[in-house]
Amino acid sequence: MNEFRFLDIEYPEEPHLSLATEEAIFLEVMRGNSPPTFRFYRHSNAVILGCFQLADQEVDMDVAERNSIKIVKRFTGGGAVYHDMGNLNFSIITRDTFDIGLNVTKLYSTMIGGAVNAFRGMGMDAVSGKLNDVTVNGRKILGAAATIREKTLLFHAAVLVDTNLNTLASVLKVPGVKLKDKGVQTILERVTNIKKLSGHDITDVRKALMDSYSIELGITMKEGDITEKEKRLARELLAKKYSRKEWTHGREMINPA
Amino acid sequence: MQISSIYKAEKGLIKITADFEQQEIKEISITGDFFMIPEEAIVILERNLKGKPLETNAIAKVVEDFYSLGIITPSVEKEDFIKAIMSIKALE
Repeated sequence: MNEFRFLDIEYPEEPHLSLATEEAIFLEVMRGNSPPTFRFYRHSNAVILGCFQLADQEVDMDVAERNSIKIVKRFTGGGAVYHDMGNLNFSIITRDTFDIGLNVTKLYSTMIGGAVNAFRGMGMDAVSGKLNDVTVNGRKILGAAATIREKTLLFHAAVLVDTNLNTLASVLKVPGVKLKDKGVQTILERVTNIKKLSGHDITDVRKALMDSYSIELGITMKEGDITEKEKRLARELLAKKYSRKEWTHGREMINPA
Repeated sequence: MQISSIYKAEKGLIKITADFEQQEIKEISITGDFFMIPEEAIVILERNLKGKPLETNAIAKVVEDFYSLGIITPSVEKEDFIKAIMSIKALE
């Protein structure tokens, strides 16, 4: 049986370090230095941009500034999300032992199933959407992003458990064209929280996800720690990439490691 | 002259900001919430579009050559990128 390291490592007040750590783990798994990993983490008050996005296009900077919301860019594509402590993130980082190849659609369908089943097990009528989200009654509760590099997979997702949706809606600028396509007027009609739907809190969701993914992926999870190499690499990525304006606010591609 | 446009593909928005002179792309930035693997490849696409005339055939050739490198964009087709880039022409 495929054993995963379970990593409960979060830096809620340092979202830039948190995302740098995400990439460091991915690179170390890719290099064969770190084991396959399942990680939980949260951020106290941050917008996380997809790597092809520009902060100015996605974020209401006045709202962000007034509410001390930090702006961070991750190294995967997709759309901007708002994170507070009511939002649970998890990532699955592994060498490709799932026969994914370069089939990104298969990567999403393989990796999203564990979350869908976890939510159903908690009594919600969860369905996975076109590619990278999970909705209940048309409202999004999970958004995911994924990448593949040198036979190494990363799938990470943000789960709305008990997030302040008013803050989310006010800080993210979602273009009318996108909402219209989904048949809604505002972002508030498009998202919801697991707590509201099912009464379950983050502790419940964590347990449900771990149990469900263990079955879905045929893995066991063993509590582990971040390695010294991962820590060092995360600090390096923080300095050369994640803390830099060119990365977060520009559209520069930076590959220091 | 700088022009921006937003194009909605099945999954993802493609935002184009371009500077051009006499129908020729001088600078172009492609942003949005799509996925592209490898991610860094976006820079190649932008670079190869520079100096090209804003004509469907020329743009389609650049985009097709780009995809032939093995670039993957789940749920966004090469036609979407061609249409997104050409959409700035209508705004000229």
